[in-house]
Parts: sequence; structure tokens; C-alpha cells
Amino acid sequence: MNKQIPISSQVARIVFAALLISEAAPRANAGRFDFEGSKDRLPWIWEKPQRGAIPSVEEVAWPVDSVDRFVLRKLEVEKLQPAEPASDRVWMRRAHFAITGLPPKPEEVQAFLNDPSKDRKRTLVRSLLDSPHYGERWARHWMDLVRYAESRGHEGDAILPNAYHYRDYLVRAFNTDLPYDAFVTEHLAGDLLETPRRNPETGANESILATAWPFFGEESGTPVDLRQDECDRLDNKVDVLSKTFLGLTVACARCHDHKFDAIRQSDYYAMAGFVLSSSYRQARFESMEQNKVVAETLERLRRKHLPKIAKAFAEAARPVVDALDENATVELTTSSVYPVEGEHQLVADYTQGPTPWLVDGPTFGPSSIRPGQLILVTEQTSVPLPRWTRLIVAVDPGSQGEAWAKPAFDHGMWKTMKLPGHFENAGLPSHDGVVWFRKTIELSAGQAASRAILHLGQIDDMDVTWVNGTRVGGYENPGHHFTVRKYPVPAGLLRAGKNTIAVRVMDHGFSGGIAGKPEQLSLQLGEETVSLANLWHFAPGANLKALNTDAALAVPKPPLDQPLALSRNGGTIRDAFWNGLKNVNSENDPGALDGLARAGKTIRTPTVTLASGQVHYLIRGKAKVYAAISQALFTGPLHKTLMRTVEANGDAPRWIAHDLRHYAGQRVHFEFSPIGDAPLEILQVIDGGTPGHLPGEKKQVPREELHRALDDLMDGVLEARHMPHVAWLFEQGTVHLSAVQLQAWQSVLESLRKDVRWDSRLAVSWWGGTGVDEHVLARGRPESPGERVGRNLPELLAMAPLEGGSPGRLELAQQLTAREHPLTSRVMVNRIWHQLFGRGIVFTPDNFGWLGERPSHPELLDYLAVEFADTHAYSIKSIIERLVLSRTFGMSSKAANSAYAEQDPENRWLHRMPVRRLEAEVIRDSALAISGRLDRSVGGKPVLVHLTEFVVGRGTPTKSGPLDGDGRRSVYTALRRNFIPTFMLAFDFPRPFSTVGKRNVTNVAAQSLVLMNDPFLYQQSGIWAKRIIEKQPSAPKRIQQMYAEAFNRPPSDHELAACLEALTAFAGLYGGDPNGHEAWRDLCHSFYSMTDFIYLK
Amino acid sequence: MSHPFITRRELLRKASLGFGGLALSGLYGAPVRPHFQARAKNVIFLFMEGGVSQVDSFDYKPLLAKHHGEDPRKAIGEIEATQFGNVGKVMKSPWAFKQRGECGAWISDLFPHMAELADELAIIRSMTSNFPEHTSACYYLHSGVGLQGRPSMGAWASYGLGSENENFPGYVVLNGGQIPSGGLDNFSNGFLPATHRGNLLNAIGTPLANVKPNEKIAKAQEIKRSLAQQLNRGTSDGVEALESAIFNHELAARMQLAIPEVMSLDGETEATKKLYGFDAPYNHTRTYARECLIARRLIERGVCFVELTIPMVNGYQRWDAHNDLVKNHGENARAVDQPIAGLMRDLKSRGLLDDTLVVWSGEFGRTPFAQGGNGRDHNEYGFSLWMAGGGVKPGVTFGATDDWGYKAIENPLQIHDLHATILHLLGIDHERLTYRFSGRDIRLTDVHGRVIHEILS
Repeated sequence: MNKQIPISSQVARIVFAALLISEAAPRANAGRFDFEGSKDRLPWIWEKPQRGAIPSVEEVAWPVDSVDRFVLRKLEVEKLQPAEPASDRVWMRRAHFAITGLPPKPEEVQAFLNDPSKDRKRTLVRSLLDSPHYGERWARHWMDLVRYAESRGHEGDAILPNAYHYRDYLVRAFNTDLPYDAFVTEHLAGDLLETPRRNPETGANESILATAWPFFGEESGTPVDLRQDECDRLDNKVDVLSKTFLGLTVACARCHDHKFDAIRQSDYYAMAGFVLSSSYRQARFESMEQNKVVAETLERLRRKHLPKIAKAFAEAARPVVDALDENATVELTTSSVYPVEGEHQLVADYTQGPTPWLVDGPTFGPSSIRPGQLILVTEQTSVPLPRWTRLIVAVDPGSQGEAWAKPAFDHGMWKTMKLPGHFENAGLPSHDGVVWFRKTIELSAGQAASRAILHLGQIDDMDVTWVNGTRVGGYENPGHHFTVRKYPVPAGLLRAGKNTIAVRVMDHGFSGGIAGKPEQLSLQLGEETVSLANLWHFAPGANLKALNTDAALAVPKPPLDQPLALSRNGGTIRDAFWNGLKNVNSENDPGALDGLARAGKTIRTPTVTLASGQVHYLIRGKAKVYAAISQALFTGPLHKTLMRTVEANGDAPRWIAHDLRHYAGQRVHFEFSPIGDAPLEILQVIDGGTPGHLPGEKKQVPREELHRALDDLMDGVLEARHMPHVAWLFEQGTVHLSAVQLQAWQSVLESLRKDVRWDSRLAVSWWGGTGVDEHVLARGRPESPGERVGRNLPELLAMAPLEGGSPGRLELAQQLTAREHPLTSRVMVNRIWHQLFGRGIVFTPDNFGWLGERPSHPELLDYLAVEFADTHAYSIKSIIERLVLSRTFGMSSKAANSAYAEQDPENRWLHRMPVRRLEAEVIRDSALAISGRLDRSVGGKPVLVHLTEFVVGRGTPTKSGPLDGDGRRSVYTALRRNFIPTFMLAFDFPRPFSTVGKRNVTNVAAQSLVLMNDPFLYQQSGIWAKRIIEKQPSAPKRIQQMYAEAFNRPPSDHELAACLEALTAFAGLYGGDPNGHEAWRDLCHSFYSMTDFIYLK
Repeated sequence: MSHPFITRRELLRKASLGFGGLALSGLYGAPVRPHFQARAKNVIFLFMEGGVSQVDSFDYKPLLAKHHGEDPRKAIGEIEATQFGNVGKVMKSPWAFKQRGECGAWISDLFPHMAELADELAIIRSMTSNFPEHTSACYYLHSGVGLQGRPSMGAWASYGLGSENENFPGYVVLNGGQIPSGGLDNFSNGFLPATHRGNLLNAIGTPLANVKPNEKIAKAQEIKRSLAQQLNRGTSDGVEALESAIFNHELAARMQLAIPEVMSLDGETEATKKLYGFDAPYNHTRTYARECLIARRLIERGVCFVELTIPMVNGYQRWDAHNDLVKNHGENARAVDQPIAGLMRDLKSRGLLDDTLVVWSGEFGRTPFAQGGNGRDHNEYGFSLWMAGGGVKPGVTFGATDDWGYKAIENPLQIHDLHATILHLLGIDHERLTYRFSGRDIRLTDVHGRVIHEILS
């Protein structure tokens, strides 16, 4: 016996054709790059597609669509007859796989065959396109292009958190038939759109999800040379960008001008700039749009309320100022300054208005704050009350509704104590917490009408003081036990007769009380002074020690008592309104970026090149800083210094150093994220130089100057020279707005809070930064940077040069989706054609250039490209429908004449439909569909990959998934770059490292081993057998059912007989029961090894 | 029974007349006859993952003892960035070096068994890598690119030559337990057809994915196969792909038998097993001995490229001696030294060494100064490897590092040169073995590589 593997002349011809091309190609090293020559060699790809005349054909009855005329015309020229129409069964099966990637159910086949209507094919195609499985199938095609994976590969195969939202985005985009131009726009600039597309059900930002694709590439955990590593990642992103959308291989111009196409080395770096200009983030895609509206409203309301409240403040401050002695002077402090000496680079200066305002989320407001700007705060966050203070207030009996502050309250039963003095010495030993003091005094009408100031001396530690139930002052933060209390009493508050003073004293350690000097304890009434020393009534309130932490849950937000603040130095200020944003049901970045939910509350600086690397941040508060050198997402032991916690507590900003000298010369931007609910202001970031701090000068000013500052405030304009005055007034804490004013603002905030969407899931997305133009790197090496090139497309497709510092991706999207673009539409229709007909009109869908193949039907390609844009308005569904209904798609896979195998061995002219090996996913999904195990639910978190002895390595997922992947379609199995199931690889599942528009199709023994021995298929055959036995009563009926389910056709007599015979043989192995499950399982299992299971005719 | 099928190589020789230099892809995936007379038919690649220290094995540097304990920045001079940046003192080797064999090559006591074979080895002491980090360096060593997704050299060899035996794939990875950094993609077919993927054969446990039938009764599988084949013939319609699939089913059935056969060592004599170290007291020695013996059996059966991964000697530490060099290298050497020597002797005595190229290498070397106290950090600037067998000049030493064993200074080589040389010995011109992917004719050596003729016989 001497059987030969059938290698036909087909293969030989492919080789021969390739050889011809390669010989005709310009020699790789033949002298200088010839741009014009390269352009002229393939002029059509640089020019806009033209809708030419529809060809005339001889066989006029054959075409049903103009598309068929193009195909038939070529066949006639080549003297080939088109194949006969495929049978309805074959056509229907083919349409099902092409559109949904799943086999039809027997009843669907029957319904189609029984449908008498003329339009039944169209009806079927439309229903398939409406099926959610269409989106799954075509999303998977697209995932091949963007090398979709859910991990970063390399050593540890670190996860790429929340990547699956991109997959679900694709499924929805295809299912809702997002027009291709919008689809492209979202991929390139979905994060930058003014009005992104929103999910109609959830309101989530849909467009932004498309921008995950740049980040599917490999990421090293511990690159030693970050710049080299950046160049490699960049190469991959440019490669995917250019192949996917342009069908060009630009990445090979990284080191030198393209050898065959009109692409210069500078073109590569021009495209690289688009990638460099933006960075990575995890976006709160579900909440961002809704919260954007809230943020805008908040800002509008702030602008509306600010003048009113400023004015009210000025009015309330008048009596305070008036209460000062007429000739007294007040000591003011002018602002601190933070000079930097020596040569340095100002990376970001937020004190001077918005440098490029790059924020993720609303946390830092709409822009930075200028020095002297008045701010309407949303909560008492500039100096938040200590947690335990809030706790005490929450549980203190006297504070409930300020009950013990009210004049009507009867303190007759309270004990008395002599003041001033510490309460520990007067009946409250070792008490920490709240003590209330009350005193009633009688005043004459004259006394009540005079200008009044309440003096309480020093209070240890904090207090709030009321006169006749109205708060007149207080210090609620620690650190004021030496502060002498002096509270002006607003005019009209005192009355003739009984007046009540109530003081709530809070102490959190050691001794406490109203503990100044007796002469300091008085009520000053005009010229007269009424002493308040001696006996006061007192009662203990909340006890700090007795508090339990459960009470913390019940702590309400403290009411605003002073909504106005003044920014002395300017900067970015974290807005406490947004405290409470929560990321839910999401994963964080592994490694060094972990541990802090940064999404939605991060601000980043522009990108700069580090000069000295001696970086200083001028901040106040607490933040996590990530110095994104080369945008590396590190997880390993190296580069931990890039992530730092910086903390500057106290009232004034401070310079905090971050030593990044090791990275001098590299590109960097800085990302700041607040930690917890702590306040945060960022003023400046500098690189190099010696930063200093000169505290503000003290100066004495007369009372009148304070009045002039208040005049300013009334007008809503604050001159710089008045800043210290107003700051002083704020610092005194003695000016209080009326409850009406406070409540108005408070209720604005409360109602706005209801509109906030606090919870959101996260998704990978691009984050637009500042424009970064890359240098041309000689031989692709970072150590030899040459000239800088502006961001752009390759010269022959170029757009207008970008202006300003925008990332440029919106402009890029506009350029690519312009009707006259020569490649966008052509490349996509060719991809669609490739998927439907098994080979593209251009056989190399990712490369339309010289080293790709020439189109077999150039006029058809152009016709379709124009039709796709114009007639079909970029609707992918619509063009698929049209092509599937064409006569061409409906041909049999058997040639009209066996001689055509020699005449058109590659089937280049489409004389028949090809026989196609189904893709890895389709084979697995079919097995699930046939067994009945298929779970048809759409979307969601990936199912863990099933680990075996052959799916191993470092970074192994912690858990193995189920053998059958929960019955979900393959597109939902977790795609861990280093752990791709053997089953998938055997059937040419593409390794996700770059664009693969055309998968390999091999035919190797390992595939047969999978079909014979893979435990998953064996398991499915058992499930299938069980169902078949239950469903049909007799062996022949069961076999017919199996054929209908697996192959959508009845068995031939011969097949039926062979199956029955095998069944008997199987049954013989298991005791002879012809209805036994084992025998039927074995028969079912045999079906996977039938070529009809993995080949589609 | 005569073999019913011609070999792939034979077939392609027939099919490809006149189309030299271009590879058939997709269908059978192997190209053409070798470009010139091959010196070796097979390669056994002994991958010492983690990076063996050159100054403790094949690169004798007496100066280290003299300056032991000194600050390397003073003694050596400028120190490049290391992966962990924890630069310690200059550290002498804990192992004594001696001159071995007639050639007088300096080899340390770390490898007593290998040292006895000095006259068989061509030692290269001036190899460099581009990456001081495992994963990139592993990818680079395997595929010539420091990134995921490129075809491994074994895949290129398989693509270039195919397998002599239709029952086996061309590229087999014998897994001793330590899957290298970067995972199975080190053995990837990349953009080459899937058939050239490094097929992972476990030395212990199920040898090959899906080679073990689920059926408890062997007859059941036979019936299945016969039914499917009978019915497939009826539906193939002369369509080539379908006929190939039928052929593959038959091949798979044979592989299913052939793999257990090659893994079964019942037919090997006790003396042979002993030679490899099957009776060694250390269990990891026994594991690697098993791998080495199976490697010989695989090349006997015509597998073109066999790669061995090391056993899990120190967990995931492999040869990566960041601390306690003595323990780490000592134990790893203990596992591989005797089996490798056994393999070499066995190949030689069977006359197989003439046709078999044996390559021993890590992905980089280690620093001559300590990392912290008693370990060594990664060093890409100079390290040692050896080659032996088919076409290699025995008993030579080539290239040199500086006086410290830190950087290659004499005839420095790149991984591309190693690749070019391996392909050359297999009869393949590295500049002509290309595969067109995404519009480029891509080769293993990219635009680099020179054959190291100095070590060829």
C-alpha cells in the first residue's frame, strides 16, 4: 500500500504565486527608499474607492444582486461556471454558522424547509441577525483583530482587570448594529466624545468601553529598562492600530522606512504619538455620565449661591468687626509663598488656573482654583470634625435637636459648679466627653440693646456656645484649649429680662472645662461688663469612654456651619461632595497599583520628560502618587518607588520630595488620587530645583481695613490685598451665617446628592492626556532619538497637523471615518467578505500593501466599499444580509466541473463556496448546542479557564474553572494569555499578540486526538446520549435525531445501517442492552470524529 | 508490516521541487529540503531556566577570589542596573575550578559529571542577552524576540524540517515540572501553523494532552474510529481537506500508541538507566534522568527538536540564585549533571551523537558580585553555554568575558548567532527560512545572526 498525502497542485500554485510576487518585489536592500515609486506601485490603496459600472454578464438569469454580477463577470472571463445552488439544508446551516456561529436546531431547519413564502431566506437571515448570538459571533471576529485577552501575559500573567466589559461592548455594538463609522470613532476616541453613546437600559457610558483595546497587549511586570519596554509596547499598539483600521503594516517602519510601501519611518512615529498621548485607567463607566450632569449642576448652583452667601457672610461679619475696639488693630498674616530656587521644570502649576485639566471623575471639580478665590464648600471638609467628635454629637442627649441649648429647657435640677475651673475637680472625675453648662442672667432693656460680646476665656478643649438658643460661636476642632473665646452676640438676640447662655464643652483627654481666668468670663455690653464667673449649672453629656463603635453607623453628616472658604494659594481641591463614590463588583490592578481604588478620583499632570528626577509636590492633605514613567503598569519587585503615599498634614501646604533620579530622561506624568475621605489640595509639581517656604508676614491693620475687605466681599470681588483680611475672618470662626442661609445651601446639596450615582463598575479605558509627539528613533532604538514628528497618519493619508495639546484621537477618528478615506471602508467590507466567503477579496485582510495580495475583484471591493458607506450607511447587519442573500453565497461547495480544481485551485474566482473548517470556538459551541448543555445567556464575567496538566505555568489562575465552562459559549471563557486551553490552540485559536484578520487553518493529527480523547467532548457525548434516549423511542429514530441535531440532515440508508451496526457492537461491550446509556454515549462520541462535525460545506 | 505512509519530509521533497526557499503553509506546514547538507538531524536543547552562573561553572575568574568581599564599584568599576538593584560585594565562586580532559577547559566542581566530558563540548563563554529579566530573556532565547507571540526556535526547526516520523510532532518539550517564565508561549508556534507548536510531553503523569483515551474498554474506541472513518469516506466527496482529516484520524490513532511506547522505558537495560541516574538518591535527578532518556528515544524516532525543562528543584526558583547560591546551584546541578552526562555517553555509544546537536544554556548568566549577601543577580552581559554533537567541534572554548566574568569582550555573541548556528547545523540557512506573516517575510533571526563557524567541525 502506498497512499500518498493528497498534496495537490493547489498548494504548489500558492507557492508559485508567492514566488512570483516576491521576485517581482523591489529588493529589500536596493539602495534608497523610493517613496514615489512605492506609492505608484499600488496607487489604488491611497485613493478613495470609486463606484464603477456594474459589469454586464452573459448569464443574466444568475445574479440576484449586483454583487453577483461582479463575481459572475470574472467567472465568465475565466471560463468558469458557477457551482449549482446549495441545497436549502446546506444553505441554511451555512447561514446559521456564518451569522451566529451555532448550528440550527432541527425544528428550525424544518420550519425553514416548510416555509412556503418567497422571502423565507430573507426572513431567516433577518431573524439570525436579530439573534443575540450574531453579536457574539461577530464580536469574536473583531476580538482577533485587537488581540483581546484578560491578562497581561509575561511572567506572572497578571490580570487586566475588568477587560470583559470590552467583549460585552462588542456583543452589544454588533447586536444593536452600531454603524461602522461610529464604531471606529468609539474605538479611537470613545473616551473623548462630548456626548457619548449611553446604554439605554443602564445609562452607562457605552462609547468609552471601546477604548480598552490598546491595553490588551503584553505587559511586562518588571522591565529593567522602562523606555525600551515602552517602545516595544508602542510597537504592538501601532501595529494593531494600523492593521485593524487601515489594513497596513506600519509597525515595520519602526526601524527604517517601509521596504515596500509608501510609509516612511517618520510615519510610524507620527502614529505612535497618538498612543503616547493618552494613558490607561479603569473608568467608572456606569456612573460617569450621570455624575457629569450632577457635577455641572453643582458647579452652576455654586456659581449661583456663591455671591449670595459671600454677601451674607459680609453682612454677618459686620457686627464682628464692629465689636472690635475702634482703635484696635488686628494681626493678619499674608499668604505663604513657596519659591523654588535653581534650575527646575514646572511640571504642573495648579495655582495659576487650569493647566491642562486632566481628571478622571468629578472629584477635583471643573478646574483648579486661583489664589484668593472664594469657594462654596459642600461639606465641612476643609477641616473635618474628628470622627469621635461627630460620634459624641450623634449620641449626646443634649445635642439632639440642640435640646439643652434652648432657653426653654429647665436646668433647675442640674448641679452647679464654680467657673472657671476644670470639671474633673467638681464632681466629674476622669470624665472625657461632653459637659453642658448653662447660666441664666437678667438684663435691662438698655443692656439688651447694647453691642454685646461674650467672653468665655480659655476652654479646654472645644466648645459650641449659644445665646438664647442661637449659636454665637464655637471651636469644634482640637487644638484650641489655649484659645481665648470671644463671641460677638448678634444684635437683637438679647432681650430685656431672662437670657440664657448655654455652652457645650467637649474634651477628649486629661482635664477639661471652661478653665481660663475669672476676669475673662464676662458679658461685655457696650461700656459695661457683666461678670459671668462663679456658679453655673452643669450636666454631663455623652461619655467618650462609654461610646461603642456601633454608634458610628448612625453618625449623620454634620450640618454645614460655614460653607464659605478662601483659597489662599490656589490649586486643585478635592471636593468632599463626592466622598462616598464606590467601585463595585470590579477588580483592581494587581501589584503596586493595587490597594487603592483610584478610579473616578484621580488627577494627572501633563506628560513631560524628567529632567533631574528630583521631584517635589506642593500639597496639603494626603494622596497616593503614581509616577507613570513610560506608562508602565508594573506588578513585580522593580519600580516600586514609582508609587508613593504623600502626606502633608496641617493648615499649610508643604513640599514633599519624591526621588526619581533613577528615571531621569524618561517620559512621565503624575497621577494623584486622594486616600479615604481626607482632604487634598495639590498646588505644584516641580522637577529639580530647591523648593522653599516663606511663611506669610504678620502685619497689624486697623479695623477699617476689615470693613473695606467686607465691602469687597459684598461686591463679590475680592482684591488680592484684602485676602488676608477675609482669611482672618474665616480663621476666627466667629462669623456665622443664619440658619436660613445655611439650610438653603444644605438642601441644594442634599437634593443633588440624591442624583449622584455612587456605585459603579469599572472598565479598562483610554484616558486622554496632553499631546505627546515622539522622536524618530534611529534603528528603532530609544537611545538615539532624532527629530520629533507631529501626530498624524502616514503621509499619504495624512490629516491637518494637530494644534494644541489635545491627544488628537478625535481628529484621527474624524479622518478615518471621512467618506473619502481610501481604506477604512474597503478594509472593513473585505473583512466581512472574508468571514462570509472564507477568503477576502484581498486575501490578506490585515495587509493591503505590497506584501499583501492584490484583490481578486478590485471593482467589487470598491463597489462594496462605496455601497457600505452610502447605501448601507455603515450598517454591518445590512451588508451581511445582502451578501448572505447573494447568489454567490448560495452556491454549492462542489464545483460545477471537477476540472476547476486545476483551473482555479485556490477558488480565487469563487466558482464555488469553499468547504470550511469551523473555528475552535464554533466546534466547542456546537458540541454544547448539540448535547443540549449550551447556556445561551449573553455577556457577563468570564468563566474561569479549566486547568489541566497542559495548561500550566507561572501565574496560574488560583482556581480551575469547570470542564464544560458552565455550558457558556467559548467567547465567555476567561482568556488568560498564558493559559489558553489546549482544545482552542489545537484548532488554531490565534494567540492574542497582534492583529489576526485571517486565522491559520491547519489540519493536523492533534485535532483528531482532541476529537477522540478530549474529556470535555466525552462528557458532552454522555449528556447528548441521555437526551437522545429520552427523546426518541427507537434506535433508528434516535440516530435520525442525532443526524438532525449534529448535521441538520437525515442519515443516508448506509449511514443509518452503519450506526446501527456500531450501536450493536457498543452494546455488546456493556452487557448487550441496546438502550444502555454507555452504548449511546459511545455512538454520540463517534459523531465528533466525523468530518461533518468540524467541516462546513 | 511496511509503513503505509511516506514520511512528511519525503513527501515534501517530492511536492516541492522547484520551489526552494518558500514554505508551504497551512496544510502540512513543512517546507522544503534542507538548504544544504545537514550536520545534525536533531536537536536536544537542555534549557537551564533561571540563569546558571557562568563564574561558578564554565568561566573561571581567579580575580574574584582575590577581590572577594570588595565593593564591585571600586574593584570592577561601573556596574549596570540589575534587576533587583541590590548590589553586594565581589563574590568568589564557592566551587573549585580545574582544567579538564585533554582540551584543558576550566570547569568547576559544580558539574563533576559533565566535567568528565569536557573533550566533547564546545564551550561558548561570550554569549549575551538583551534582557536582564526572566520572561523577556526566555522569549528572546527561544524566539529571538523579547515578547510573547513569536515562534520558538523549535517551531522554526519543525517548520523547516518537519518530523521524520509521522507519529510524532516535530517539536516536543519534555516537561520536568518547571514551565519557564512566560509560560507555554516559550514553545509557541507564533504565527507558524499550529502543528509546529512545542508539544508538551510530561515526563511524569499523562504524557501528552488528549493522548489518553477516555474509554475504559479499548475496543470501544476502535469501533468509534472505524465507524467514523467508514462514514467519513462516504462524505468526503474528494474534497482535499476532508481527506486530510481522514488521514489525521488514522495518524492520531497511531500517535496514541506511539507516545506511550516512547515513554515506556521497559525495554531499556538497567545499565542504561543507571548511566542516566535512575538509581540516584535525589528524586529530581531521577526525574531529569527520565527526561534525558526519553529525549534520546524521541530523537531515535525522528523528532527534530526536543527541549527539556528542568525539574522543580527549588520551587519556582529554578537556577535563579538571588540568595544562597550554594544551595540553589548545588541542588540544581545535582539534579541535571549526571543525567546530562549519561545522555551524552549514551548518545555517543549508540552513534547518535554524530547526528544530534546538544545545546545547554540558560537565558542569561549571573553577576560576578553578590546580590545582597550570598546570591547573584541576573547578568545579560556575558554568560556561558555549551554545544556538543552533530557538526560541533569538540573540546573547544570560544569567546571570553572580562577579567571578572561580567561582560563578554572577546567575540561577544548574540542569541541570534546561536539560532543561526543551530539552523545551520540542521542544514537550514537562517536567512532563507522565512514565513510571511502580516506582510513581512519573517525569520527567526530577524535581520541579525551569524553562524559561529569557529566552533563547527
